[in-house]
Amino acid sequence: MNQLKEKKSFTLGMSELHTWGGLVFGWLLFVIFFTGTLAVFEQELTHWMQPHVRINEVEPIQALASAEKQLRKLSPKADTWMIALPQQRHQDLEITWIKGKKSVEKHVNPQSGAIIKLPETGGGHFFAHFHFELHSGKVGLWLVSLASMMMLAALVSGIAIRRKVFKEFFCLHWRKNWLNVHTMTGVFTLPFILLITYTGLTVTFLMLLPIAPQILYGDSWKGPQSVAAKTFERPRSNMPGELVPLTRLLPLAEAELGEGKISFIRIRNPGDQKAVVTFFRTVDDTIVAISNRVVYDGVTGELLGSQTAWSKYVHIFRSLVGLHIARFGGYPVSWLYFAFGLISCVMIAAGLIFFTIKRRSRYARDSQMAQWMYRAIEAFNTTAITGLIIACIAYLWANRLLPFGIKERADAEITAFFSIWLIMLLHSFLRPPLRAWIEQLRIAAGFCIGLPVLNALTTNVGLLQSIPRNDWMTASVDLTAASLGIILALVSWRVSLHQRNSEKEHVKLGEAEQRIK
Amino acid sequence: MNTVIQKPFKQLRELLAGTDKTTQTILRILAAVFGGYALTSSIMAVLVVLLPWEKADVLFFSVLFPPIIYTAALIWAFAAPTAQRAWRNLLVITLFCGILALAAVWVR
Repeated sequence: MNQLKEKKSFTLGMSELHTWGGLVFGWLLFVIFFTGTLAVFEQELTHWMQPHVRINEVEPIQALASAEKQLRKLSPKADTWMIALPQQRHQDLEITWIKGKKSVEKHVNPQSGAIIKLPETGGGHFFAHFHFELHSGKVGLWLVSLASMMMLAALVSGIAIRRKVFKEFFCLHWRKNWLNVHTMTGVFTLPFILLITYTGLTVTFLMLLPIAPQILYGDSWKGPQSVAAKTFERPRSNMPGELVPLTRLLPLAEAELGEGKISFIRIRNPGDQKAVVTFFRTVDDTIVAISNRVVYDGVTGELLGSQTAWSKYVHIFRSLVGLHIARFGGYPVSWLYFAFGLISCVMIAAGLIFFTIKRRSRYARDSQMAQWMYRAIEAFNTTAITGLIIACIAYLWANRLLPFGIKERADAEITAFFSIWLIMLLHSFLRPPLRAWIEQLRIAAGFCIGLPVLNALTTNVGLLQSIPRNDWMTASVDLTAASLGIILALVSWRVSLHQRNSEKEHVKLGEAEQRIK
Repeated sequence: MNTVIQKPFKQLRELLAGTDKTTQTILRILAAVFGGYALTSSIMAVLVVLLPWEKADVLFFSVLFPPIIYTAALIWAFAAPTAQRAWRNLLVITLFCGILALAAVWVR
């Protein structure tokens, strides 16, 4: 008897956790999962958002020569130079110089060596960043972490309250209602969500709950990097010294790290007697997201040291990071992550929708206060799901539509993202719930399908030009947006059909009731 | 004088013993968030203090645990039959691990 009672109270507790925790954090989780899914193609999105950077492949040595020439010319006295060499999925050549607290970034044409003038943009990086910080620093990081733990807890509690989901899934008992969509996609994405949430959390907890580093290192703690990596830094001597040509060091570094594998070069104190040049290896072909490096004296060109072996626990930690950022397997793995990410989004959205549908028939008879609350929940559902999709696609539209030379253009794109989202919030409060869903789905579909058209009209990297040029990084953004748009259009069509049917039934019911009277 | 101290204490006890559903849920949420944080911190402290490896190894080994511990605490707070039990469970283990960690540091 007691055991039965305990079991019942356990199920009740789990169901409470799943329902309300899932609702409150579900909005946030949809936002995190959707922007995170987009961030899988961060580099492609950045490439798409910089239509002026279209460069033919060149040898790394030629790219480096161009970068070096510009850096020597533009900022010979900087504290630090950084060069990002063109990679397979990162075709542009970026140079950055830091002087004091000021940092300037430029794009260089590796063939001609000229600076490319291009409008400022936040690129796909915005999505990657937004998905763990919500554009609000440490508060955002905490919110995302709590939401992620809620996600893990929701998986456990979800299985606890509905133990037959696995049986239903593997016996193919799939029905077409929101609860079933939620549970079946939930079972399907269970391993992926466990993986992605756990790996993400290990990284954020090192920042949020730094108890281990505090006990071990106290105040000298400067982040995991300073512990894992050997340092070859030297203080400035303030004596002028001629920097050794970087193009002479590149073949030496390539011999150590692999031909064509160098993605990043950092030069400390260029033009000083104590200059240090560090070459970093790409992590795009390894699951352990940690850069092997070789370090040279910037004046004599002597080898100062290298680090290509890491402690096994550093390996474990950085493999978790690698599993989260999904750079290791090229396009097949990226698409796999993208697909699983989208299905997870469907799972979260279906759960949120099921919450309101289950209660819709009930709360019509509830108190005024409860009615208002459920109305607000419906509106937040719409805003968090379709509103966010519209805001994300509007961010890409803003990139094409904002005038070329305005100040703070990257920030203006982000402003566009948030203002469109806010408008969608107002819209979902002002319109009746079902109308709001249908209208926002249509807007989202329109924006998505319109993206390739807009791109073709405003730039010269439209589908008709990018496909013959084999520029699939641009074309795939257009094509993916269009296909997502078609899916959204189909969904909106289904929802409006459903609404018309239920309205008809409603009328019939009303007539029947009158006849009885 | 005595009543001045006793009164708020009594009120707190009544609040904690509250069987009203909203109070229970709020207490559970607080247990999950703050109790979870405390529990994770103290277990991590014990782990870090007791592992006899090199510092860097301990650090990168320890990052594997906080998400699991915190999530478990979160689920535990809602699995307990009452909010009071949830608080008690979390606090007992937190205190136990905290004292263990302090003792280990002291012995060293």
